[in-house]
Amino acid sequence: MRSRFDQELEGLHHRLIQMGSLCEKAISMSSEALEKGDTHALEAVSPLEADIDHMEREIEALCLKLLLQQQPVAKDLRLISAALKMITDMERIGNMSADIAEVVGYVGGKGSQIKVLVRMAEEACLMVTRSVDAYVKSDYELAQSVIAQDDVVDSLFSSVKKTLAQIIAARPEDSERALDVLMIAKYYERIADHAVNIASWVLFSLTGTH
Amino acid sequence: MRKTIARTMVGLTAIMLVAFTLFTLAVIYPWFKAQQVSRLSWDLELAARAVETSGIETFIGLESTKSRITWISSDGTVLYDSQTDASLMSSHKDRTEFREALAYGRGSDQRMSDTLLEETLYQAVRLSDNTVLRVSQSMAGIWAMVLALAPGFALVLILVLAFAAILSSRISRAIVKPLEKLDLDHPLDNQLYDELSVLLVRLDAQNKEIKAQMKRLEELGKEFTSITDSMQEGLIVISDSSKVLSMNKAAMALMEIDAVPKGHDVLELCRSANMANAIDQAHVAGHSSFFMSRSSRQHLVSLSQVDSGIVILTQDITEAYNAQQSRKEFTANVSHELKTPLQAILGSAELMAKGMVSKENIQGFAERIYNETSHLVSLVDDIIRLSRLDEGQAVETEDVDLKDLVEETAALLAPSAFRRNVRVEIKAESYIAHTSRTLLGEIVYNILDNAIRYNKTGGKASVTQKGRTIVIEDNGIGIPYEDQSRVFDRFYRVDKSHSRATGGTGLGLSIVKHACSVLGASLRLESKPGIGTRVTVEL
Repeated sequence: MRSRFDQELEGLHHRLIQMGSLCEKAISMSSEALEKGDTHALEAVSPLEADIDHMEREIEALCLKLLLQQQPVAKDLRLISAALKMITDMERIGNMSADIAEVVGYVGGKGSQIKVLVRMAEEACLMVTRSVDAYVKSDYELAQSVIAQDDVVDSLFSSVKKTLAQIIAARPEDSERALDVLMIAKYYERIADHAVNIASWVLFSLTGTH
Repeated sequence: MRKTIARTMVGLTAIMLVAFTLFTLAVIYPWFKAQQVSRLSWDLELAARAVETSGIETFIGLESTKSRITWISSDGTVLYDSQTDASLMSSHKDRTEFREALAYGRGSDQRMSDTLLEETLYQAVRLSDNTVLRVSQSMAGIWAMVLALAPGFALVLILVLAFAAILSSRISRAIVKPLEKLDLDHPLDNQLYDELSVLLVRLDAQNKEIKAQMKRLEELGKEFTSITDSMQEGLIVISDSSKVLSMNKAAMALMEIDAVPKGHDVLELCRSANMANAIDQAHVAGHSSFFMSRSSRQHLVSLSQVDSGIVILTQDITEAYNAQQSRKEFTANVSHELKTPLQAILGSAELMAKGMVSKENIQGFAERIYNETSHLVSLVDDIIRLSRLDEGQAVETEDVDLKDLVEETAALLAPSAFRRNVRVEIKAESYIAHTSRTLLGEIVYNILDNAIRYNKTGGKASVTQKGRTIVIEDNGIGIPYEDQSRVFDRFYRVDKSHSRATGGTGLGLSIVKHACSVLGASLRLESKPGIGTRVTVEL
């Protein structure tokens, strides 16, 4: 009975890493599209988003089954409840990656002209990768550093905002595009927040405090 | 084992006790009965004598406690009974003992009561007046005896069983104790029951066999590891639940880890959506593969399902991948390079054909067609040379005097140098090398051609040959630092517009690099933008 439960927990771990890697791929593809001004990236990202959605439902069902059938306690319970929360954040990351790819479709190469946005994209990608890393390695320090990294992304977001305000003031005809770029920046800022959530769920599964 | 011994002993004791009791009863009961019978016949004897001498009145009023006396007439009518009123009793003529007594003088019978708890013995004798005197006595039946004995028997049974239990537990412990101390690793060292020696010898033999097999397995494992470790390809074996079972050195180097992470999920080492998909696919289809880029090298990862999981094989295909990439690039470039002069020719020719060019301009157009055509010819020549080198055809080698070769090549380029007003200096000494005249000629020609072509007006190019070393130097425009690593690439030009004007194909240095690698010569390029370039070829 116990060994079956352990096997199912391992399966959950495997699926979570898989979903994490899908999110990493989705966000890196969107960021690459942003950098290169590739307006057709959505075609490649949306199947990934569909996969991520599918995995979310699959993992959710697995978690609920484990909770109902095995009635886990202590660490196992934390692990499963953290997984349940994490997949929601991962699903949001996948969703917003697709949104970014979509907006890049309107703005084309305009986004990559704002260097600070490209840096923001890099930071957000790194945060997602590191949060998934923290989960895979059960790394307390790494999870905390991801949480700390959020400030960097937040300050980058403010810089993007300022730059865009200047652009709008200088060239009002570009204001529509500038707002689209602001949306992209906001998506990255939200993605960074979700990465922070994942990291704090990792901390919860390790320590039991949240 | 101890329990079995104790249980057996207690059970055996109980069975023995019961059996002994039953046996005793079986022996005692007939003896007891015989005693009763003999006493009864003695009583009958006495009673018969008394009746013969003094008549039945002897018994009347006599309280008989033990035996019951009945006097029966010859027709069976009861004349007297010591316990019941004789007139109420039925005729006794059918009773066995009565009939026997009438017939033979004496008779006897015994009858069980309905409950079997009581048995009545009868003895009868025929008196001289043909009447029959009967004496009867009841005695306890065998079951009554058993019942009588039961409480005592139960008490004894309990006591004996308790004693047996204690004793058996001690004995069984004593028997088992040496077995518990048995040294199973060295079975033959045990001094124990002889009965076990066969078992111990067998155990010893099996121990040895297991050890030998373990050693063999270990050796096989080592053999497997040493084989897989010497493989260039990475090999990872994972279980059905994606856990790493084994991994060779190449795979560990690829994943940048020092020890085999047994029991860890393979996605922890190589987290990629491709890997996860490939694993899922291998579970379904039995085989899958994908390309993985790691540390700027390309790997082909193939997964195959086996009995206990999945075998993952990674192959470094960087060279093949790069070759394919450069082939693709080359093809694209060749088409482009060939098309550009053709377009110019086509355009000029079209204008001329339609009579849109005035007579005085025809010469200019013809010149242009001529120039572009010669560019095309030199381009096609270069491509043919390169593809010959690519094909890796065997080179014909001969003894070549390097001095002659350098001078001949320089002479070929003299008109070009003259046109560009570049002075060519040659310092060479006679040295015979066994090499390919054609290829070495190509090398010197192309480098010197570049030294002249990309030079300043009034500039200088020099070829210095000493022994096996040829140095070609110029004080021309030099190559920018960021381009120096790429000038040997096919169709790479530092300044595309300038290069076209100078008539270069973009393949010269590429041919040099290729020819050097075919000849096994070393090639070194040093260049400072604006100052000059120095190329050293060492055979």
